[in-house]
Amino acid sequence: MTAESLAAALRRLSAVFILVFCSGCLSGCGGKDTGCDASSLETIHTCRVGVQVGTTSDTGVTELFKSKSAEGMIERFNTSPDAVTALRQNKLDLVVVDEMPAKEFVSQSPELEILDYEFARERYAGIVALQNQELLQKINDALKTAQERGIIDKLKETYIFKSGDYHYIPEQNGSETIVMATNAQFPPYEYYDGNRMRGFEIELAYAVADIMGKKLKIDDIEFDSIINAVSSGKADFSFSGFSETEERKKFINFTLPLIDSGISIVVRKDGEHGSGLSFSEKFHANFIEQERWKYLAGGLGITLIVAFFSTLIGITGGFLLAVVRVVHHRTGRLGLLNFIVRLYINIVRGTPVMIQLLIIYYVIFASVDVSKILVAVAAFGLNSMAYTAEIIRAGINAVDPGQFEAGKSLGLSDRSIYRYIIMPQALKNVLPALANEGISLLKETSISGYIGLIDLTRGGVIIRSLTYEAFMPLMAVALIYLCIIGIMSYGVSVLERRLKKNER
Amino acid sequence: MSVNREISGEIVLKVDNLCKSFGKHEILSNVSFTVKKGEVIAIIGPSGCGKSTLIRTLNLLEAPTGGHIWFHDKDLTQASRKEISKIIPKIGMVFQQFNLFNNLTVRRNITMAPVLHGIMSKEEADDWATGMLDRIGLREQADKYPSQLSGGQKQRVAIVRTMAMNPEIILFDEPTSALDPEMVYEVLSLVRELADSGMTMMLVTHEMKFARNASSRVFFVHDRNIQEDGTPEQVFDNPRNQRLREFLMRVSCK
Repeated sequence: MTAESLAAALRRLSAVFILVFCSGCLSGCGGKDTGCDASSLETIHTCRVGVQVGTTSDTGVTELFKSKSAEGMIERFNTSPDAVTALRQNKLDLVVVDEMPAKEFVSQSPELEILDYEFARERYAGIVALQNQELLQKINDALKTAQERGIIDKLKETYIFKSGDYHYIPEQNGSETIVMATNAQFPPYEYYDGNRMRGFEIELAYAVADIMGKKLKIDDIEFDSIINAVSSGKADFSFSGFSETEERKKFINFTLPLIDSGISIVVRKDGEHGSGLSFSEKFHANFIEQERWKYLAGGLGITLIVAFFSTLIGITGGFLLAVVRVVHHRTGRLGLLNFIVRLYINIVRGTPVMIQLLIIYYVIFASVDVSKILVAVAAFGLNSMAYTAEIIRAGINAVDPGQFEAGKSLGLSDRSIYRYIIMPQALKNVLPALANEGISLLKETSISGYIGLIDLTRGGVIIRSLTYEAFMPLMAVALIYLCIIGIMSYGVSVLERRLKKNER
Repeated sequence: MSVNREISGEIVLKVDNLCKSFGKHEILSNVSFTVKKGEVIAIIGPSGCGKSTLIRTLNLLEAPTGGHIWFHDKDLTQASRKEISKIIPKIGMVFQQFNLFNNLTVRRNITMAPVLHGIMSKEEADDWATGMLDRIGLREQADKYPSQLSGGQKQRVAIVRTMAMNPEIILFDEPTSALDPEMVYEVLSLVRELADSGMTMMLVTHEMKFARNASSRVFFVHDRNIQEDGTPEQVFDNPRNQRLREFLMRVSCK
């Protein structure tokens, strides 16, 4: 009997390998000639351009292309490494991105180069909530002190001009914590090196925190969520390569400028296609080098923890909600409670889980410092509860009413009947549906990255941002999900078969 | 032909002007009768006349919409939940669809309720169940699940399950209607055995021969009430009611 499900698992696996093989063939091929002329700013609107959403590159490119009625040529990505990956795959003609990251990308990918004219020049500054004038003043004072002590110049030498090897050693002996939000996919300002965040702005933030006598906590979140996080109080400030713009000034305060930067244009060199790395070299670069596999291992741990506990909440909570619904249906009691439960189920089922996650993190827990794992567990658990409740309710209703009547005629209490007769049968009925719910919940946790939790998916994203390579990290992540879900399905089918012996 | 039974004067059940409607649809209207200890009452009548509803109302599976049901000196329609929970186990019921608990073994089906009620300890109940299953030739099936039994076996287990509660009266709701013909006999012989042992019973049935041979009294239910109430000889051989005559004609023509 195990052979059967093993065979099914193998079939599923082989399907994935076919998928992997095909996508391997497709990536690197394709692309089309668009008649792109990138010789000057006057003509680049003829090219397919990629930008990171919400950055000044995005604003600048949008403005320029709009004036040429070429907005359709813009593609906006969540991170600039994603844009670079698309450029390497010939899905774009050029990427407009800040100067330093551009240099970083080009040094990693020999087939890319930077055009010799700049898109624009700008200055980066830190950001602080509008109402928090006191903190703004303190950070500005600390920045001045850092400048006087030569810390800023020495960090520039290390990270920007690559001519020094100075690193700021954090003292961190303050007792009060200060939270900085950033998006660590922006080398050399903030990025991951092993499991640690590094970069110009990261070390500068530690220096500033030390000067202010505070303990620094860094939250790595999506770039387009940072302004939100700072103005809602989730984070106290952010150093994350923010350029001053009039639009942004309406929502937040800028500190003194941290550094000047240009915006560069990255293109593929003529005739270069894809990287020449072999499969094993790619594997090495994506997983072995700098122990990058640890992003996946750590992320898997988080994914499993979040999925496990939210399933637990989902099933217990869903069970209780289902009992309320059934008791109301059979006896007419608990009217108000039943109304609330129905409202809850409709709200949860009527909104996307990602929005629920963001609402719980940014609205409900806005001013509370709470573990992100806890937020994710709460969000996915509360979401799953609504679905599980309906599944269990259907399972209870599917049990033959004669079972209840027989219990009644033997003088058993309603409680005993539900506990010993109805629920065991209902749970057996709904086991496959519950397993499916568990499986989709596990997959849904892949959006945890939106609140900065480094789960399995996010771990893959980080590797992608370091290697500018889509194929390996994505396939690895997909395979890991597939294996866990394969194991889960197998476990459920074994359990189902054991329960089947008392089938009607 | 019917057996001579020892019927004491003790009244087990007294039904007084019982009414039952589902919404606007009236099923029973002012039904009254008494059941004495040891009586075996067969309830006959055309389909849909309310026979099943009548006995399902007696143990409150259907809530009466009017009238009174006295079990000894307690009025079930006025009793508290607690009192009802003590009385209901004394009124056994056997269902058309057996309604064995699908998730429990044959043995647990029998022992669960008496153990939960504290009538027997777990060991006593197990021994009792084994003994009874042995008597009806189902000892081998004790640890099987209901899905593994034939219909006739299921119904016999259901009867034993009811007896385990040591009831004062057992209500049978068409106990053989869902059975294949070859299984009807094994169930009816058990019911007959039970009747002969002096158990008070009410039995909704379409088995006219059985009703005639095994019962001490017959109700003909039609048009929301008991139209004829008498010994089997009176009801079957000398029917006074026109509708009863028509009904018996139709049944015997089959």
